Amino acid sequence: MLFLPKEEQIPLELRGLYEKYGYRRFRMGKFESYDLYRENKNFLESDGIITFTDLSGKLMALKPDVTISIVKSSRGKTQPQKLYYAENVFRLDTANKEYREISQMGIEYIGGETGYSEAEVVALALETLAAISGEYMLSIGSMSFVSSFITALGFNDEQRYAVLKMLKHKNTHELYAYALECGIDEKSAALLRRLPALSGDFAEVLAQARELAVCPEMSSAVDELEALYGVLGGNADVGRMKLDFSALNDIDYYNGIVFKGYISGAPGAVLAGGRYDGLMQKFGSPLPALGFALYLGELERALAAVSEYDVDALLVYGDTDASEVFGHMKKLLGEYSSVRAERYVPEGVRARHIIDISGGVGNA
Amino acid sequence: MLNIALPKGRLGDKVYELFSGIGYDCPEIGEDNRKLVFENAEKGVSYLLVKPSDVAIYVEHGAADIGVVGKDVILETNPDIYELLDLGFGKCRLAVAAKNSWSDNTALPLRVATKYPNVTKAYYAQLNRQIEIIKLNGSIELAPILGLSDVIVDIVETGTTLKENNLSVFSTVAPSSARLIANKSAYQFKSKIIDDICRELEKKI
Repeated sequence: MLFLPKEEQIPLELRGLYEKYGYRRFRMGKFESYDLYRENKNFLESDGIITFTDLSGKLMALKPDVTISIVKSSRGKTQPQKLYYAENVFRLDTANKEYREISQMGIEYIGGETGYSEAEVVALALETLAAISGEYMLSIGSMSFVSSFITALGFNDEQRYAVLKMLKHKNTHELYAYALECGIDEKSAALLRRLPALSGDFAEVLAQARELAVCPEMSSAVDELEALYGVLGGNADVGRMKLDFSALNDIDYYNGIVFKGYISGAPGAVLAGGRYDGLMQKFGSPLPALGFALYLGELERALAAVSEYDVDALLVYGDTDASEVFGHMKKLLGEYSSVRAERYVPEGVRARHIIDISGGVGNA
Repeated sequence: MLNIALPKGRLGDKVYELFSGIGYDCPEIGEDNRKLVFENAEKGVSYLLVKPSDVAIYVEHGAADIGVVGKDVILETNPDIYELLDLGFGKCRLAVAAKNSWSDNTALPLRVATKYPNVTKAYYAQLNRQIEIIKLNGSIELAPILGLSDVIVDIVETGTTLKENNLSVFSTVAPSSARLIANKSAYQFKSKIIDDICRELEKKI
């Protein structure tokens, strides 16, 4: 394990971390009934599911998401569950119009309430990012704050989606014009216009968010964030936490906090999560729930260290007696981080050290 | 170091002037040479000159931290980025144009020539009009003249080109102008300088 490349070592470390906090692994099959995803289409970030019919003619899908399956499996359960997973999901890469297999890890806390449970999940998200890189940032937003704001302003369903999209893009200029176009009065539109810019230092932005609160739901969302910050303050690296109201997820499934994690060097968010009581309700469960997923595929490139050498040491043994070669190998394995034994020096192999015991034969 | 992607050409020149006006100049860029990357280490910025339609790609993939691109390109490629500012110049609109004498024959699918297939599809889907897209890369105006298509969806600035070719605008799809965009991850780590640029630019426009 010691000498594995970082992108392979991290999943192992993270599994250790989740196990330590008492989360148990959830393993699932590769397929699910297609209906499950059709009914919860908005929960999935991308369209495009790979489908096929099983032997009985039922339409099946290669799973594009793990959370839905976990929620489905917890139907009817009344006790809290702490689960983690490491699975591959299949999604459409819309830019290149091709399917991708994405390696995903994450935790789901079924029954996770506000207070300690929520703080624990956020702290684990922070630790997950810290395990990957020293340069990370967790952007935390609040779905309940944003959605109650939009509802209070009187946008209809179709308009809500347009507004959310502009918020996601921090598109202040069009947001203001759009609000006026929808018949929102100038004063409210000006308030809404301030929302995308609400991002930065947690405590500072929290104060600004409080000024924006136009209804009790928004105030209580701010209270919740404040409480979360208070709990995490002494127990996590809050300097790596930002409050950002453009961090958003689907409005029908997510409520409460939402967050996105970033690593310097990876172009998009590598971690996404939040509270999804709405999804739980859709499956008839009264329990609250929250969790997050880490996209390992996004990380591989950012992590893959450019190594100058393929192997630390190359043992060239030529015609040396096989058991003698073993003796050499055992000794060298203790001295170098990796050793490759070959009869002669293969072309294209970059070795930091070459140990030649062939007596000149191997270089011929 | 903040990497800024600028569209090569007239728009890029104008954007660079704007940036240098708020203190992010890079004297190298004025020199006539074939370099594509210009750096001013002292100010902590470097400029990349890329094809206008590629700016959003560079920014989305993090090769550039921020960039300036037309809204038409953003609408077509729908990149996952922050759109921070409308710079208010490079104003034009995406519009449907056809021969002056054209009238829509709803008995047949409409043939549309365009550089913007995604915008076009979305626009006509919302109108419930069945279309056939003919993707062209330039001289779109030629298509209706030669009968290659019934209409075109393209950028219209002043309308002079259309007029000279006996074409006219029949409807507007979307307005467009130059936008300042930022990579979502870069914004998390460089928000101070990016916000600063935004504020300064806002004063200029």
